[in-house]
Amino acid sequence: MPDAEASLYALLGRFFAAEIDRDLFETLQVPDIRETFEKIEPGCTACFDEEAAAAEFCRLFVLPKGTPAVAGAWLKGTGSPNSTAIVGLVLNLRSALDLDLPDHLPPDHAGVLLPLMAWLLDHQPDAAADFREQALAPWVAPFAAALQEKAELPLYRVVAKILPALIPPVGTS
Amino acid sequence: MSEIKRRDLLKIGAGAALAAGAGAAAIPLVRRLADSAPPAIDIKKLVAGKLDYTRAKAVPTICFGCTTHCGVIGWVQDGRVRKIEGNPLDPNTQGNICSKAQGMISYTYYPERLMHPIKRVGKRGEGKWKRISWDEALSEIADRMRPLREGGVPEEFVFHYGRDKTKGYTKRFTNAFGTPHRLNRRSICSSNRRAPLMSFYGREFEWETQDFENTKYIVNFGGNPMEAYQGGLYMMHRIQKARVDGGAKMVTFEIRPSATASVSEDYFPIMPGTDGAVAFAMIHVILREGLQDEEFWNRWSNLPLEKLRESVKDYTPGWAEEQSGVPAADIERIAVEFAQAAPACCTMSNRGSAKHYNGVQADRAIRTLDVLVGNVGKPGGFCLSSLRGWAGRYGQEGLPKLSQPGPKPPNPKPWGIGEGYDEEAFKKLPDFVQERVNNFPEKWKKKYFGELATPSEYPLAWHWYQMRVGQLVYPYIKEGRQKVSVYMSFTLGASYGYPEANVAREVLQDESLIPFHVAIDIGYGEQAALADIVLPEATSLERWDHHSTNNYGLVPYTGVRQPLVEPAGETKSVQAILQDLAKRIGGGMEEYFAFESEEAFYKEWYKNLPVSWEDFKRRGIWYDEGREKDYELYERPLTDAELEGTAVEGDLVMKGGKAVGIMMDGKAVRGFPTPNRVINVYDEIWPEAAKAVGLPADDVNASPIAVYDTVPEHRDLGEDDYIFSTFKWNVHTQGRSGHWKYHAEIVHTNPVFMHPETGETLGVQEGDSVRVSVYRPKGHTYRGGEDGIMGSFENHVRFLSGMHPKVVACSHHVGHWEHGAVGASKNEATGPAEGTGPGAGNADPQAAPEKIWWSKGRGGIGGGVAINDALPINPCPLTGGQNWYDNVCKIEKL
Repeated sequence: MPDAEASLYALLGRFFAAEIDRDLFETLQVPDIRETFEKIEPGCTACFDEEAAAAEFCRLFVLPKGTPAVAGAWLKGTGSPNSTAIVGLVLNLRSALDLDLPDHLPPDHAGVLLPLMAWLLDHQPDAAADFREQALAPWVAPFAAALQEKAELPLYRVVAKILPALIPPVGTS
Repeated sequence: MSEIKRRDLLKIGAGAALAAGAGAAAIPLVRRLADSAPPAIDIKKLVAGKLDYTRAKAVPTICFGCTTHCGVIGWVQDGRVRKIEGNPLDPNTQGNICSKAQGMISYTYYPERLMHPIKRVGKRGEGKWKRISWDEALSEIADRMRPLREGGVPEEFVFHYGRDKTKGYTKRFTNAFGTPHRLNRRSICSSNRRAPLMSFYGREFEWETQDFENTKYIVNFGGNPMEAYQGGLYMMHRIQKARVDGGAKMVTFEIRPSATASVSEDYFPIMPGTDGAVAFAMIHVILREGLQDEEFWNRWSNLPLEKLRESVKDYTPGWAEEQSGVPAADIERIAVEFAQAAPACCTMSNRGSAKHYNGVQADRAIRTLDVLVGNVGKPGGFCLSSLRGWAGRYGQEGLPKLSQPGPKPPNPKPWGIGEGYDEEAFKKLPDFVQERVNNFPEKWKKKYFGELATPSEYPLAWHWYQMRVGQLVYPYIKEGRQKVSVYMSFTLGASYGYPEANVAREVLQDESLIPFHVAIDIGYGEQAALADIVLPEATSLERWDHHSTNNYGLVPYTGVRQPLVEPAGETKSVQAILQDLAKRIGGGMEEYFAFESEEAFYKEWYKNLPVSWEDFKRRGIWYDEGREKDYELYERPLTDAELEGTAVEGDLVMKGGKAVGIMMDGKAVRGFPTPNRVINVYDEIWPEAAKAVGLPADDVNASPIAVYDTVPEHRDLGEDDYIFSTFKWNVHTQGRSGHWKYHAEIVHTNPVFMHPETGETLGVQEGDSVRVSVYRPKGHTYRGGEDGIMGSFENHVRFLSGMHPKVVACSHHVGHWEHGAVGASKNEATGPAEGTGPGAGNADPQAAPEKIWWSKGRGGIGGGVAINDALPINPCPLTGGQNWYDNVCKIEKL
């Protein structure tokens, strides 16, 4: 069985890689997940409307004026890392480890970075910590804050609350 | 819940692990493709760093930052294009580039770029979408299109593009489908300047190629190559070299002190629409002073010099001063200086002279100046060089033939009555249109393809080739002149950038007029927002294109746009999209798209180049370095091969019923690619077209020889009437660059520029807000003569000494409401990718969300105002070119 923390990253990555569908919604009914999600946002796992979920995903993560789930949209200030560095890191990792990463998303996309983090946690935990520091921590907090503000579907607000708890900004962990 | 604790996280993780362990498909896990044990990883060593020229790969390609298309080199490192440089092998640019080249990086890595096909789920225009797969998207589109083709009404599919540089690939698709409706926006841009050139010099020379490098004198009527001219980058370094190293002079007539005006020896703020008056007066002076090249004129023009003299006898410098405001003494001086510099002198003109009711005739007068002093085709003069294609046309003799791989679909039948015509489509047209077309001469009947592609009221928009009248597409659809079942827009921003853009939006919003709209574009702009399905396109850094255009070095060259990186996300090139769609539509369409890969298709296209494909890709550019420059092409003797099968009839060398040369001094030479092989200063096509559409014979556009008349709505200008004009900045490209962060930082708003004296007259100070209200035109044009204000916009004032005091002007690139955070100048949303602008090679990130510092939310000036709703649709009679610069307006202080 995969490591719990790794599985959490993989689960969160799934929210950004594609729409919430019936499969994902049913997975959220696993008691440990449902209870915690409900604790964070009461009622969030109660009902599911696939069309509405698809529209919400598109509004938030596909169209402009949403909350693009890519590092490049949220990194602040000058210095390193920047999205170019993160893209390079992901591509170099894919090449070095021969990983089958989602190819329908940009390399600095949360739908790529979070599952990659999950793999590293399972297989190379030391590298995982550095990866989180380099590729996720610099931008997840502002992204999550914007997502929390813009999301209409409660499940995305839950994810937006979990992300900064799991990945604190650089220097605060 | 106030705080999420670690145990909460682990609890979710445990649940997720349980589900994943049970094989839940909802939690996809990353897998290794290799069976071997993974190597230990040191993340810090894998972090991509600064651009390292020893590691980065240099790939040549062709820029698509604007319409000039310069040879560039992209540096690719760690999967990203990091920097763009000029390609020194490009004979046009000679290695130069402008800031817009870096825009390709901006739009490729813009975080709000559309990466997936999407389908509307709310009302059209409501902004509600869902992501769909390519399979779903293309299947639905094919299912909508197939019945039109199978049902014999392919013309109900309309393909409307803004930026198509596939050099005929999209035409392959529309032809294979069977529709003539491959519409464009040429009339918005340059048809008024192309038509006079083609009238004078023939179809092959719709764009001139001055030999700036060797010139001594340039007279520029409203061209702005230092900022915006198509081909400007090719021109600007040559102009500067001629000025700085060669002592050349440039004279510019413009309505504002543009960058080009600023490097001119003489700049005259000119009354809009009066460039022709100055040109006529120059002709008058040159003839009066006997400075014409009579030998050249008599040899190559089709008008006796005395007739020209007669036609300009009243166009004195004093008269021109009254019209234009340019001092008569200066016109005298410039005319003499220009003629004395001949043949190393040239004119230049563009939208400034041409986009007026009398603009076609103004450009014909300007073109006459060159013929009169005999500079045509001479070193330093007004030259004509091979344009696109390389299919063996005039000026392309001896070049390797390049053409799209076969099999090529046939063109659709023209619409009309009789054998060889599409009668069914024709009979659906309104009666008055059918009657007009039935009375057309045969030469036009054979070129008529309905009102959207070939509007019958504007025959000179399609006499030479289909320039079309894009700004009338939406009104015509609204009027019911053409039924549309599937409308596909491609890189088109009509609903933002066309005149009366609100009409475009109104029609696109109306599902009874446009039942199904597919938009193909690299971004989600105002046009895509009104679609039913949006297909995300690969950018110019991710796809192939053929490139060939005129070379100001006067040696034909070709280049290739090639992908530097894979298309991002799920985006696809338009070629891949249309290939897939053709296969799905089937019914034989797929036969024309049966190539194995895009690269294979382009490799075949270039197969006749005398270099290997790999070497061509490595260089990005090819030309014959030993080829003679394109001087005096018209004097070159026909070769023995060209003479084979010809017969001399009168002066003309005929072959297959067509003149291919002309006898001069007892020798057969090429002449010009016109029907009579000489320069048509006089052309009956203008009165013939006028008569065919009922344009009065005394209208300025109906004259066979260039004449001057004041723009109708400028005749009785009141004291408080002003002319509203638009212009372009050097860092923007039409409405397609408002979301390029680094360019938007430089120019993000569009104040109303006016002369300080104008401000004083109006009682406004710099920074005051004003309302600009525009009237409809008064000539023989769309809704011409209707009273009342057509549209208004409000903006703040900037003073600019050097403006013509009767003119107010705004740029038109900004004021978007789509295109994401930067395009709409909203700081509240997201910023662009950092480190992707100029200097990005060394990653200087500076574009976090709060960096849209000009947004009103941060107390900035905001993102400008969309002005195109307030500008009337105003096609020039006969050619249909949009008269952008005739607008009469009133200005109120707010």
